[in-house]
Amino acid sequence: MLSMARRLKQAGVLGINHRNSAYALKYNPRKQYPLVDDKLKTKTLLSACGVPVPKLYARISAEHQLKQLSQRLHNLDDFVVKPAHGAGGDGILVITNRIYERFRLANGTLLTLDDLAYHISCLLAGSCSLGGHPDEVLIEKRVITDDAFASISHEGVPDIRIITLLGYPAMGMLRLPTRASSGKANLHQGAMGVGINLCTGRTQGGVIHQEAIDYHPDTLNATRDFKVPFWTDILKMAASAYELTGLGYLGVDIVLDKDEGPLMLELNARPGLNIQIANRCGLLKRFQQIEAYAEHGADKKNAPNVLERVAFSRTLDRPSEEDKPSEVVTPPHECVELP
Amino acid sequence: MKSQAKHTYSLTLLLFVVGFGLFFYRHLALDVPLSENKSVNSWTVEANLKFTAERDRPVQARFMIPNSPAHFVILDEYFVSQNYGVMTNLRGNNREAVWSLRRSTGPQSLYYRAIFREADAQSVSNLKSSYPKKQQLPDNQKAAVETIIKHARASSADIQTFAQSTIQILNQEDGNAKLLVEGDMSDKARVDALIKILAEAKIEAMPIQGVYLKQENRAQMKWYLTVYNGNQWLFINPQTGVVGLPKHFLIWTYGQNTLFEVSGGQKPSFSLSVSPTPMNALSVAKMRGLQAESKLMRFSLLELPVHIQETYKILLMIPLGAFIILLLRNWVGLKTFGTFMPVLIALAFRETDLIWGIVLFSTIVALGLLVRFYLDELRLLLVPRLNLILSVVIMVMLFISVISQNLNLSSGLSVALFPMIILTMTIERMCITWDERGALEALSLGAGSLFAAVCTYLVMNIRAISYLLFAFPELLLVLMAVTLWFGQYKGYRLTELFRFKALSGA
Repeated sequence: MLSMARRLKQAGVLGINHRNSAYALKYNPRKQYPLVDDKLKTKTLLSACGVPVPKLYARISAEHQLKQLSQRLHNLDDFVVKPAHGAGGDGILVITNRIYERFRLANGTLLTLDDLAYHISCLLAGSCSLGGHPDEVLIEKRVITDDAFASISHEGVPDIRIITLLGYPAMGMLRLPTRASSGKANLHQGAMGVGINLCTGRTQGGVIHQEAIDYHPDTLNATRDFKVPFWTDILKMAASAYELTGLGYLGVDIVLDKDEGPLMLELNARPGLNIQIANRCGLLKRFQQIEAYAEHGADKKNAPNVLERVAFSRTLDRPSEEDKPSEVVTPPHECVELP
Repeated sequence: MKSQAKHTYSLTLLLFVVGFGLFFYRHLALDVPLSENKSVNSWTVEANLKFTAERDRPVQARFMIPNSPAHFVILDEYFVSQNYGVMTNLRGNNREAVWSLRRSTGPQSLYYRAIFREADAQSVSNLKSSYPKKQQLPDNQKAAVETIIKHARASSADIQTFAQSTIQILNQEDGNAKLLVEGDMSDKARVDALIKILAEAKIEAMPIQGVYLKQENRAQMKWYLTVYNGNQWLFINPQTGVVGLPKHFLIWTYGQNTLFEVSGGQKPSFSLSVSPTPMNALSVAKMRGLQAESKLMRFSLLELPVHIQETYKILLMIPLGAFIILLLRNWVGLKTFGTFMPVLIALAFRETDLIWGIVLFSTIVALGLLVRFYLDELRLLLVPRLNLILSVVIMVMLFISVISQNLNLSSGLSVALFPMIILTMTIERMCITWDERGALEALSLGAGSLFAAVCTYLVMNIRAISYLLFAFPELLLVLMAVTLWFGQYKGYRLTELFRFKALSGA
């Protein structure tokens, strides 16, 4: 037991207690939490600052608005319903199309307008919000998966989670929905996490629950060495969230839309630690490098801008052998590789 | 960040020191016992003065009562009489009770009852010397006294040995000794003779009357001698010459005074009875605290009404239960519904017993879940749904109570103590988890909560701990210190060792 703890420590694995006390509590002022806990606020803030987000079709904040639900959904064939204060993907419905006045979910279930209205009313009452407070509901554009990911996703939309510290991307992961996660991209629900090399944007091995796996369980296509499109844009987007929210420790979720490219889906002030398993690498060392750089290495007078931060972050990860960008200097790499 | 850590640690240290300081002070100085069943040897001494009152005359009776005796502490005393006015006066080294009544007839009975607790040896200080006036002795006695003094001087070095050798000479019962005690070798006569001799030798000495505390219905007053050696009063056994006061000897009065006086009454008789009365150490400490006017004892839980005390006995355990939750969540990584829900369930277990508690809890939650799944079909809003579940929970509790009453299972009745609001929220959250994360997750969370409740219950149910927290509420400060200290833990949770197994490189 103790030797296991020692090995984890050596590998620089970040535990929840440590994350809470040394990062979440330290870098995330409580005052800023509502900005990311309320998806409506996040969306408003992001789009006001020019960050691309999935288009908001409607917001429902009171029970009586449900009477006009059918008018509001009048010319929408596909859309997503989500609670403003939901966590972990709870309460989200993805409607892919309409069949004879019924709404078809991503998993094939058909819902009537009444079913949908009931679900929304539950969300309004706070059944999926943190702490059970009354909530608001967003109806927004359904993101269509970029073709690049078509071969390695099931039903839902894969998203990219980037953990940033002080605006420096520290680790990235691709989350692939599986049949087991019923189309959701949350790891604890059984979605597949695939580590992404920060430097090159190429995927590494993956993980489902705690098990290492290198192919998608439903499509059986290999998930390794997959180049994530728009990688630099994604890193820049993630890094820019720091200035927008004032939160130093953030999980940034980005999706790739077929037509619109990377869109920022949501932000998380208490991102989970499973990303370490997906990358098979601890977060702690990267965090310490970032902290040290932000403290001493960076120019104090004018804080490094997004580009500089992304450039530094790219040095945190060793690019894989086959495509090593010449301009990137590789620091000694200390991640633990699985055999 | 560094100064913050310093701040935290110094606060921890402060709480720790203050908590333990108060604890040790109250235990060592105020004798608050460490365990609930500890009892202190104490004695009830009852003095009874009987006489027959004379017709139409004011009655005044007085008798000596102990005044802060060595080796003992007076815990409580009562004066029992019919219609008499009672006063206590200090007279020299002694205390006397004065009973008075305008008129009465017939036999009268006055009681003085006191509870004495054995205490560690205290030196008797501040005895006022009642230097006996040099008595004018008859010539024959004077010669005898001088002879004895001469002999004793020859075989002694200081006041103590002088007094001791005087006793030895008296013990030889030769002519001189017999002359002095006038043929009566009783303790009283001896003590009188000794006082005479010591006074002649210019040594301060006083007789003492007291009782040996042992189970006795008719205890006798015994005589003892105390001699001032220039620094302190020495107690000397007039029979054997042994120095020191026996542990069980209760000093009743100093000096030559008579034990009791009655005016307006006839045929007075005075009797003493002694009986051991073991007392609960905690209540003894309480009484002592009240007498000593100790502020720390005054602000004690023991001062509260009994039913409030019972409440606090339970309330004081809650922080301890919460501490167990801290360990289970931050060190082990156990997942539970709600942070402190298991503590409240554990409190309910205290009333129902463990096995019954688990059975009742599972039954209520299971039935509640069934109803909740059914209500899901009705598409209710959150609050009305919660209200309905709450009603169902209470009805299930009622049902269980009634059934167990009919089956004569008294444990089933205590179901009423379950926190129903907490149960309702548990059911609601469990149902949502069930829908969204699957049955496995919901059941494992439920089992985790139950496990945490059982752990908390097992710790909170240790009587010794519950007593300690009640008798020494300042231990909560220590608990706070430990919480602060343990709360600093940044290492891995036990469950994380398994979660991140793949990263351990093994």
